[in-house]
Amino acid sequence: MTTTMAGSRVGALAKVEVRRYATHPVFLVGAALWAVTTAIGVHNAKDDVYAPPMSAAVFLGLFGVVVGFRLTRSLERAAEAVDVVPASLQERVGALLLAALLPGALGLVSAVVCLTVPDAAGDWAYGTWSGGERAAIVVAMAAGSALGGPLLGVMSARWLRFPGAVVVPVVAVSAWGIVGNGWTANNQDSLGWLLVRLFSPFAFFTTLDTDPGKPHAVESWRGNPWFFLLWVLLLCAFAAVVALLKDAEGATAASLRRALVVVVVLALASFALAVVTGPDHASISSSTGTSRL
Amino acid sequence: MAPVLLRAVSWRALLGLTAAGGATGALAVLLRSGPSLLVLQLSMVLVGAAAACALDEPAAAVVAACPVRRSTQVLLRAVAALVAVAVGVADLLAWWARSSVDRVLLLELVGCWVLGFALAVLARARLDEPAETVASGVALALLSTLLIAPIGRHLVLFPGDDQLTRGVRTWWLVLAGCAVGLLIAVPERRWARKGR
Repeated sequence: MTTTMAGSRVGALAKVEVRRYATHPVFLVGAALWAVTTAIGVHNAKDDVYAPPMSAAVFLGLFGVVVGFRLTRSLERAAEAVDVVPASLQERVGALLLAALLPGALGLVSAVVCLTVPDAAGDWAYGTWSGGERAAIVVAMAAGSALGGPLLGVMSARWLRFPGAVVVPVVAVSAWGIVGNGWTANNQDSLGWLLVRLFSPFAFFTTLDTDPGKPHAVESWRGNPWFFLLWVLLLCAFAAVVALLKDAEGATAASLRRALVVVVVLALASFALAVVTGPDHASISSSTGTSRL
Repeated sequence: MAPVLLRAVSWRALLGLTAAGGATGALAVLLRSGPSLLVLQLSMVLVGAAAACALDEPAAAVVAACPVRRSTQVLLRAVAALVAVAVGVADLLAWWARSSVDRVLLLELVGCWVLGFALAVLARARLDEPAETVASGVALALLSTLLIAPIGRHLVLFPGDDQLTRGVRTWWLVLAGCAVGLLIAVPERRWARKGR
């Protein structure tokens, strides 16, 4: 009975938080830029079919970090006024976490568009990945990032208390992604860079080679896209549980701690499986065929 | 009066983001391969965000009562924000020591810094602590041009070799816009203290 009442309270609060999220200026700007750049990217994809999901990662995910952060801070600032609502802080934060489903859903739309619309230059443009693996890659890039960004923002706002903290998760995630993916381009078969790349919440599994004087070619990198998708979703769960843990007390805190242990164990297992399964070497595909790098 | 006013700066935010920018730039210099230029430019984004923190005024009510001209206050805050650009320049000098001297990178660094500072001065007219809004806005805008090709092709702030002229022109326009913004934002009247 109590659980049902708490559930209905969180549901009602979630509707309010979704509305707040949907009308936040940073989300509106991000969503507009996401729509425009995804349309342009998909239209021009041809041989770079894995580039368009990047728009969702940046404009829904990175922008979402700021939206999640600022909504959480405004929730805390308004705590006194909101205290008249018969809901605990965990329930209010839980409702805010549920609002991340809005950008997550847009990210999923992005993934579907990126998978169905592109007029690829040929099968080689998809690299060595099967249809299912392509879906896992694009869903992780677009929907995973769009969902994870706001959750990271909420988590950061709950735990980081220094001024200017909002910039830290944005730049940290960007730097992590750039370093992991960028250096893999020069060290395709390196186990070290594979670990760095897949430990990131955003990873490419291909890159487009555009060397002058040569036909364009797509490199397919190591790693298992399905387990990487699972890793990204578990990172989202990790962010949500850690956000809820702040100020949690008694039985709630104990349950959250147990949930955190389960999430961490599962996440590390899926990360390990993403690294050790999948292709054991990088390949390069072009209109002339596929070969080992 | 200057030391007292400088003591009011939100040094934790300014130095924290400056340190993060310095470390990111140092990483780019140390690795010197792959996307190290992108990492160096990421450090410039952090310099811009750090500059935006220089205008934060947690004790706005007290400072507003100080008999100090607004232009003096902005100037002192600019001096404080120089810490961020100094660290960025140190990273850039180290970068140049290991590769050829590229003056466009200096323009990008100074441009990021001026953009963050000028927007914070403009926002300070309405907010006592504009850093959270301006720093995140500057970071998101610059990262968008850096990471998303369709945006970076149209708003050329971090140009490749084929778009250097456009990049330089864009930065000069940004700097001119910032100068106009500063001229508008620093007339001799007290900063409004509105609700946060």
